[in-house]
Amino acid sequence: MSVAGVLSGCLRPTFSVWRANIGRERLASCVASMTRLPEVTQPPLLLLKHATLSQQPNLLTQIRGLRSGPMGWGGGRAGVRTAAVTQEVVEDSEEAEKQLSKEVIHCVNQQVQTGEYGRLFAVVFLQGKQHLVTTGDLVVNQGFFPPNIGDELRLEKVLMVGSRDFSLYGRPLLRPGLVHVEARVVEKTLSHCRIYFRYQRRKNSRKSKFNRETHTVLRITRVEVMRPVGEVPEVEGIEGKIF
Amino acid sequence: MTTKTWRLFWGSGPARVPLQNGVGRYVQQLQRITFKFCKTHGGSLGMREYIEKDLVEFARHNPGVVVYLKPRRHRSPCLKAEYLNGEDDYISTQKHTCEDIKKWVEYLRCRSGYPVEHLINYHHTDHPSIQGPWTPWLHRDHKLNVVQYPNEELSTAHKVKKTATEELMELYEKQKMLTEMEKTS
Repeated sequence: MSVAGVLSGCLRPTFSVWRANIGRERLASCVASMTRLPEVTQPPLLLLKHATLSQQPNLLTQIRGLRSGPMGWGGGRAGVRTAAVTQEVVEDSEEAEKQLSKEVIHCVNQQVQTGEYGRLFAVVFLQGKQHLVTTGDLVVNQGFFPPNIGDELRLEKVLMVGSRDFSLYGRPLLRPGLVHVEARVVEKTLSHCRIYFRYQRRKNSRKSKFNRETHTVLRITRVEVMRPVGEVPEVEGIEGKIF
Repeated sequence: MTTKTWRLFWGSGPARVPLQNGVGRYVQQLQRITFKFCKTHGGSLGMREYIEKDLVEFARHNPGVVVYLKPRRHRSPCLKAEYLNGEDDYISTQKHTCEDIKKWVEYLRCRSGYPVEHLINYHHTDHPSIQGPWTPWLHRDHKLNVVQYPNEELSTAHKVKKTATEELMELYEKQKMLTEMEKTS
């Protein structure tokens, strides 16, 4: 099974979709478990499957399958060679994939609980722009932004969090409370003067405008995963609310 | 003034903050602010109004900032700010209103002291990559590492269209399947 196939097996219908990119040795063990599991005798299903024209997968087809882009994903691009209809016995790998995703979740949760994940990075949405940040970064926000110097903020729109061994993706946002990204306002200043100059020749017309917009410099102070992933809490949607 | 000279005039550089400010805690960078004004001239009218109305409140809210008042006879008013990193900033407030001066004082208070530059990037990081930079071999098949070149299979052109033989074969297969299904049903 290809790596892409293994990863797609980890998609779960929780509020925050997450995919885990586990370390190499763990991935190897997971793949090994994949091959182990189908030994549990299950009735093979007879399915019509779109197979590639060459029945035995050779090196070329495997490489093509790994390529990103429309070729690799088998998208319906016009003129692309489509598969012939053939009949074959396909093993039901649903159970194995579920088991695999469980294992991967367990691996991630172990790292989260022991705090072994090391440095984290996060993609945060701030004032219409997405920033990829880690602890200690400087982010300059352009335009109107109310917080003043010395203020501490929590950036709640987190699109993604990643560490050395795993990445968690939101669709589009991660569940609130899963990740804490905090920032401190370090400076508020004005940008350099921008000139907007319009000139029409032979028409005796010229206009010039000058603009300096507000720049707010943020220092990212903390990126941290707060909870184990893959668990849906009993009560949701009351984060930061006072009753 | 061309765009190039304008850029040279402002200078350019990355986003930066003095002395890792904000990592442990935030330290205000403004240390001293001097209000220079004339007691009689009309150009200092707004400045005198600011001093009467808002200056005490400003000093009360910013205990870390030293405020100086410097009356000078028959000279135009200005603001002079000095920062922790040794830089200073000067703003002329000739004929400015009280509200304008309030805004400029706020501007000087919130700055870090580095001169205003044309920013070349709006994000600065000391850790550019955590999962490692992308390479062309990322997520590729490991079998490619041991392939011997020249390789016939890898150097063939991508087949985009089906050949006539392949189409015929496909039709034949389809027909065969249909007949089988008819037989079974």
